[in-house]
Amino acid sequence: MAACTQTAPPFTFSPAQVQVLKENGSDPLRLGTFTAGEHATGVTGITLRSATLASPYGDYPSYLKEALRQELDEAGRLAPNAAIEVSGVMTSNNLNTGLAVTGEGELEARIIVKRGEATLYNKSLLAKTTWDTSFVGAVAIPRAITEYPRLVSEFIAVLLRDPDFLAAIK
Amino acid sequence: MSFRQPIWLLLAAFLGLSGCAHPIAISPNLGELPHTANGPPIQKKVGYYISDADRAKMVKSPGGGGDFVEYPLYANLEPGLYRALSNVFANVSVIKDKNDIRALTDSGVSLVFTPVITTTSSSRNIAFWPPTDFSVTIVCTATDVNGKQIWETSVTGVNDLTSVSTVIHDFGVTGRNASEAALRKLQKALEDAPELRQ
Repeated sequence: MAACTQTAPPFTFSPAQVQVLKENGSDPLRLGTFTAGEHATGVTGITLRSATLASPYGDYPSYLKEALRQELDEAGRLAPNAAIEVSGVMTSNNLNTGLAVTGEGELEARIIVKRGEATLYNKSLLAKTTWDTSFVGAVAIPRAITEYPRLVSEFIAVLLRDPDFLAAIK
Repeated sequence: MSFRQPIWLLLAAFLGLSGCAHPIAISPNLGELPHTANGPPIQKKVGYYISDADRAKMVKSPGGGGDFVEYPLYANLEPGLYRALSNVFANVSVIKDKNDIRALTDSGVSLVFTPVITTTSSSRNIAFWPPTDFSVTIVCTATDVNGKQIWETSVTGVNDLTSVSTVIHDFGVTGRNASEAALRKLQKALEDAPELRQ
């Protein structure tokens, strides 16, 4: 059952992060392109031992875009014609099931905020998560799969903890 | 102990037939709870309360072959609860302490919703652990800022018999379908409750 393609769980927004977006400014935002960087790993599929984890949104830059779309939309800050655009370049995206004790997730992406030609924000951010794993693949692989939305949510949490980002989208 | 026993235990572990708990996600697809076209019908600020302990809690329920599945029940359903409330009330916030009357009053919250969520699951196929049947029950109470209960509902979403060929590619699909069904019923109950409009 493990040696096949699985699909990552769809993202669902974090109400706590939506609250941060509601409380930090009211300018409407639109989302630009989210692409894979040169030499990026894990952007089309993530290898989990003998299984491959596919994105339910086509690829993983699109997963990150969908995650941001949901959080901005829920906060009432998403508008297709907004002057401020948020875009991203994913450079690393991996889940490591580990062999015994700890699994690790890592997502790195550059987030760019622009108003017209002016760049308001341009930073590479890294999110890391860990979880208890198992030697047994039938436990380790499903556990890693369920961890993917939390890794993306953690990336957005890192972004929302950056005062420069919050200042750029006010 | 004979040398055969550890070999059987190892084999069972590799096959996933060891009675262990397999993690799944049952977060609803929020496309199934879309924003209401004309905005929320009730112009009130409300909050909901989930304790940190519930938010962190992993719930275990039966799968197939004697195995179990486990999932962060409240954490998985919280966005759906937020969406259901946001589709009915103009402003929804996360409440950290529902007994802090002063903070509730200062923030303008008029109602606090508290969910109690339970699940059942099972599999009709003993060879595969992902559940083919799942139910989610949400008992939700609404209290005013003084803690007086003014409303309560109980709704259950059921996903009966999803095929094994589906669940082996999407371990949490039955839980997700049951969550979506329960949250749709909760939203309808919120919309239909005259007590919540007063």
